[in-house]
Amino acid sequence: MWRSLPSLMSSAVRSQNVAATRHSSTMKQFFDDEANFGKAELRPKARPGRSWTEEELRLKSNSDLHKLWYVCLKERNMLITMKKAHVSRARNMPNPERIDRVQESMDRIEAVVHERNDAVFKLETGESADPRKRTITSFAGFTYEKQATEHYSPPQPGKKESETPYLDDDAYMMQKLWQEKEFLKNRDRLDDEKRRAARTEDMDRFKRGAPRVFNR
Amino acid sequence: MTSRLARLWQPGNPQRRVFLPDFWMAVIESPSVGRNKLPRNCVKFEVDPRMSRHDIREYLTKIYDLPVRDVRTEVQMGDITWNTKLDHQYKKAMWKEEDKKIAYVFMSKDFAFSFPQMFAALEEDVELAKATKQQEELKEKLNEQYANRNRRVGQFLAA
Repeated sequence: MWRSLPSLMSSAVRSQNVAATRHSSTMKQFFDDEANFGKAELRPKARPGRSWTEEELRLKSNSDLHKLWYVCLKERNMLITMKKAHVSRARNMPNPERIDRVQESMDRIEAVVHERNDAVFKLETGESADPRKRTITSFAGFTYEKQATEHYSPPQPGKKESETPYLDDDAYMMQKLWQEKEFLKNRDRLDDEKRRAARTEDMDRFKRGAPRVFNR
Repeated sequence: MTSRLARLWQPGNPQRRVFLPDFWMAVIESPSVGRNKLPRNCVKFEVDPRMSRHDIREYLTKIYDLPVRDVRTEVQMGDITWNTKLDHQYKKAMWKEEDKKIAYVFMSKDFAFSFPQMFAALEEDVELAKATKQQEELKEKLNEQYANRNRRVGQFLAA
């Protein structure tokens, strides 16, 4: 709260040492516990447990999740700092799986927040909180789902992308050839698989060809 | 994810707020001597490349409660690995490392920070001694394996 310090406070009271110690403790949040410096692996008792599961996070209130997010964020910053410090000295960071655990927790917090948001949206507006999807046909005739984007003004007439039931000549030919190519690729793949399955160890070892059977 | 979607802003809308920021920031060691030495009240961070100066200032003041006065950023281009470095006509880039964004954050004047000593000499010596001892043992084991190799003693006598 350095900005909310009362201005009445004289500069003599705010001496250098006080400020330095206060901020040095803040900067310590970017670094691991000093007992862990230079260790190859953390002591079993100091080793991290597991990440938060979604079931546990669903029991928490929104404000708790918000707080937990910032705890995880600071922890992740600390771990990234330590990782970079170790990499710059060509050393291995102790227990690097901590980064993954924190990241998992953060992903799950986001998932749970999304669930709640989704529920509210469905109740109030009847739509889910996911971004809207449009089905679109591309110039080459492929039809796929695309995330809708917001615009400041409505589209020009005829400019809006949409799904087309009938393809024009070029797109139709493109699709024909594409399907033919995919069919041939798939046929060759199946053929290769079959041939590989028929190969025995002897054929590799003694450089023998496959037995020729004419009446198969 | 809902919390990551940025909606278009229209006049009259409330200010856009980020409730779950996913930016990362890491403190980096800067040289303690020489021309790249930083003043005491300056901290060097490597930050998420998506962050702007304003983001960095808000991040540090609001999440970490640090007395930020000035933020200066620098984007360092990642190294490119060429297939033939000297052949300027036909060289191709095989690999490029990610660009880094470095932030030099100047705090208030009474702030003092120095990067902690993580790898003390003693600790390093212990590790080194352990490694050398292990290597010595390994050497002897290897010798045992290879000592009588050419005489083919084991094949006739031991078996």
